[in-house]
Amino acid sequence: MELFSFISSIVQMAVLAVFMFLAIRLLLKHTDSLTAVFLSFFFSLWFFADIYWLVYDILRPDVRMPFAANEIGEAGMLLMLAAIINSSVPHGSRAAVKHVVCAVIFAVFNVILWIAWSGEWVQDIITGLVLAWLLASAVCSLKVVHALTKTEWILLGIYCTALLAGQGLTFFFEDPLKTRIDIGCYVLISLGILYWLVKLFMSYKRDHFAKKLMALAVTNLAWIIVALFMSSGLFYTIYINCETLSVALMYIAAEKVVKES
Amino acid sequence: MIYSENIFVCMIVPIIVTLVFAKGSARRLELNFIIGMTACLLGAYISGFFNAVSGMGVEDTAIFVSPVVEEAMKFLPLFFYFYMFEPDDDSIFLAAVGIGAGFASFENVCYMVSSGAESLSFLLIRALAVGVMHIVSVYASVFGLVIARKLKAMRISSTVGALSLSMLFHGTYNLLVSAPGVTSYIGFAVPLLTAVAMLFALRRLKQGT
Repeated sequence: MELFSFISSIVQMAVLAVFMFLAIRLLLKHTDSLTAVFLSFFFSLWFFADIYWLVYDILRPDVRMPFAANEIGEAGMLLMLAAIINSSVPHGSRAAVKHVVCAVIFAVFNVILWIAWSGEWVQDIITGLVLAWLLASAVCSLKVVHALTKTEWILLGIYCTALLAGQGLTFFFEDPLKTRIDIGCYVLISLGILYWLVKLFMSYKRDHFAKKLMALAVTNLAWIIVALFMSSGLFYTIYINCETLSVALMYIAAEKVVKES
Repeated sequence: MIYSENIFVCMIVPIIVTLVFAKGSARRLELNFIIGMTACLLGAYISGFFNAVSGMGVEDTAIFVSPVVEEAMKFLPLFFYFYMFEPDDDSIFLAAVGIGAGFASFENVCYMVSSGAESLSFLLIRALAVGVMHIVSVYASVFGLVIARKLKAMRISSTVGALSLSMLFHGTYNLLVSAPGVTSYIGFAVPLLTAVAMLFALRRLKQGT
């Protein structure tokens, strides 16, 4: 299990190193592209944050990491992901007010759950603020490119509420009911990841325009990041691999956006 | 315990004297060198404060808190200079190099006073790595400011992105060199390799424009 987790992390770092190089090369070719700039920062931050985490794990195994530079790096990474989508799919501040409010509420409840799990107020609030910005940017971009139908938006709202309720209930019940609710939550999270990945693949297959691909790719990645914050153990490792796959999909969409702009 | 304020005064006095004779970019570089040393001293005070408040211990504070504090201290004067005086790109990069070099020099001197200066080979490796690391990290954060100005959009994102990258880079270096052995050698090599990669990228960028 630990070996699987370690190999997944190493594979992700190798993939990130490749995409960091590709993103910087893209920036050198398109020096006036905001998306290329943010993409380079995003991959560099992610790469170094992963290195930091790995080195810490090797040097101090089984010791909980205090608030460190990698937390700031991860917050910066989320901010860069939001900047990527905002620069590639520009939208007005009132593009999707209701959806943004729902996204922020979802982020706030996530932060409450993180604090309840870890007890780390400062880093959870900092990360939560950036996550709220990222989710708000993602839903705005989805709305602008009409990536979801009205039914899909409603289902997404119900799904997110059910997931938060399930996660919250784990605090009020004891085993074996707690474990069952936990497994139910993992099933929900996995279905969410699967849904976004399938939707993204279908979009690639149908050769949708670059901005739509970008909106879906960033939302998919943002969703996997949320899922990672909610999970541990085997599921965490599986989601890491989904994240690695999503990195490649997002880079392809971003490259398309940069070349078309 | 070392008397870092005394070391600071002894180091800056000759530089202040030369400021009278130096002109143009040489004077600006010297001034930024002094600002870099001042930032290092103030950063040490703030890290010391965090150490006292959090009870993390000197080593953990140096590994986890110092990178964040030090990068912020190096960035603040540059941020002020950038927005108050609106310098051209060459001037702001020169200021960054001066501040990075001043910071690294003062840190190296304090390190030698506290840990001894017997092993020249180790000190050379450390001085080179620390010097390059501080210059590379501050250069990266200024890069964000310059990009924000050039592209005239999303200034906060590019500035915060670049600053967090420099903090993370510095943090990774500190973590790597915190343990003896292979990781510390990798840590010493990382700034040098990054500097080479950055020089290569900048050269390509200049050829392209």
